[in-house]
Amino acid sequence: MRNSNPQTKISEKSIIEALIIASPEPISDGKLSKIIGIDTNDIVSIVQQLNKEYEESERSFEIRKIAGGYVLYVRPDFSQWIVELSSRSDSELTRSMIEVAAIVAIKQPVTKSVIDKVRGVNSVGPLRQLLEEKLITIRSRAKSPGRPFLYSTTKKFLKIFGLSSESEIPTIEELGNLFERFDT
Amino acid sequence: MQATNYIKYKVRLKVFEGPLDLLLYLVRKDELDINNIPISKITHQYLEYLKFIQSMDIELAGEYIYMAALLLSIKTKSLIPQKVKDSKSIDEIDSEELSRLLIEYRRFKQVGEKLRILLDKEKIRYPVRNVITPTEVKVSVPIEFIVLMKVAWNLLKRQDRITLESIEEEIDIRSKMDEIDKFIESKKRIKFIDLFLENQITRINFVSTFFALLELIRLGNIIVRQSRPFSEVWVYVRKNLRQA
Repeated sequence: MRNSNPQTKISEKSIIEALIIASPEPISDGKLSKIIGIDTNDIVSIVQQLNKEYEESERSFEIRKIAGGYVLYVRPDFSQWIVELSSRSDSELTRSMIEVAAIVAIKQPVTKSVIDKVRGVNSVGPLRQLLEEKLITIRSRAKSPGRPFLYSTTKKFLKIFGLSSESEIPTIEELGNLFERFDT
Repeated sequence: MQATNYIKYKVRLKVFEGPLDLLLYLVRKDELDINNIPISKITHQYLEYLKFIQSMDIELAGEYIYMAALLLSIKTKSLIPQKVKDSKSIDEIDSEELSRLLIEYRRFKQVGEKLRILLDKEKIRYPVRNVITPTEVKVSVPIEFIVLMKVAWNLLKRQDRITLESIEEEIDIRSKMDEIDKFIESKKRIKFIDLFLENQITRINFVSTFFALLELIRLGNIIVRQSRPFSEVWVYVRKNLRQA
């Protein structure tokens, strides 16, 4: 965190900030560490520090970790105004799409027949829509007879749900415990 | 075939995602114990619902009928005392299995609901955008240039403006570019064919006009567009990207 280059007085903190701002996609700890040449742990703490500074100086933005990398976001407090200027048309996700996405997210990589079994209906429609929206993808084929496709979630999936990684997807276990608490 | 099934079904029973969803609704509605489903009661209600749907002259998706058959078979079996518990065939399920299916389905539904909340939250989050990126300056050549050259050539020929005599003349592409540039500048957009200013156009003049045009497009000064096939081809100025 100290000045690595005293002549130009550019701190690692500013370099990280600059890289996050300039990167066209989420920039990972690994990539930052490789470019700057410092430990990933240091990067995590510098990013925290940056966010703290932004908050204290009432800046309108913050750094978030989305889909495995850092992205600069406008703070949610400003959304009500930003809505006014944007004409972004989000494609609406239907209930069946969300349901299938949830199954893929948790059971990935997963075949269509497993999804169909869980839902009790044919999921060809929502699967295709999710593929079209690039929220899921086919990474490989199962070894089972017929070598069916195995579906997994994509980076775009993480992005639209604001998750930093697959591990942030709400799990069944978590919810299972929740049920137990309610059911008993 | 499958796809049309899906679409039809969506129209048919919009409210429920499938037979499991419907069953789950019935369980919740009557506050039944999902681990110990009263099979007779649920079967009755399920069939009532299907009857209601059919009374509205709505065709039912196969999955709903299949589930009705499953429920009836579970119910029948529960009524007949079984001496020996024989091994189950593939399609046979009991009420325990039904509970298991419903619980699993419910869990995924809950995950889905959680995802929906995340999605709604995320919808109003805005990343700070890199508005100016190096890839912004794209060469926009929407129409085949050779085709455009041919069309222009034929048109000028019909207007009798092409001189086929070989006249020795030197044309500087850069001054041609300046010429076009100034001409468009004053008009914002012009018809492509109006780029040929002279009354009589020599071959070298014709070609150099195209060269100049290509160079201007490459530099990002102008854009050539045709909104739809057979419509007028226009040349636009790209003001904001003009070089000083």
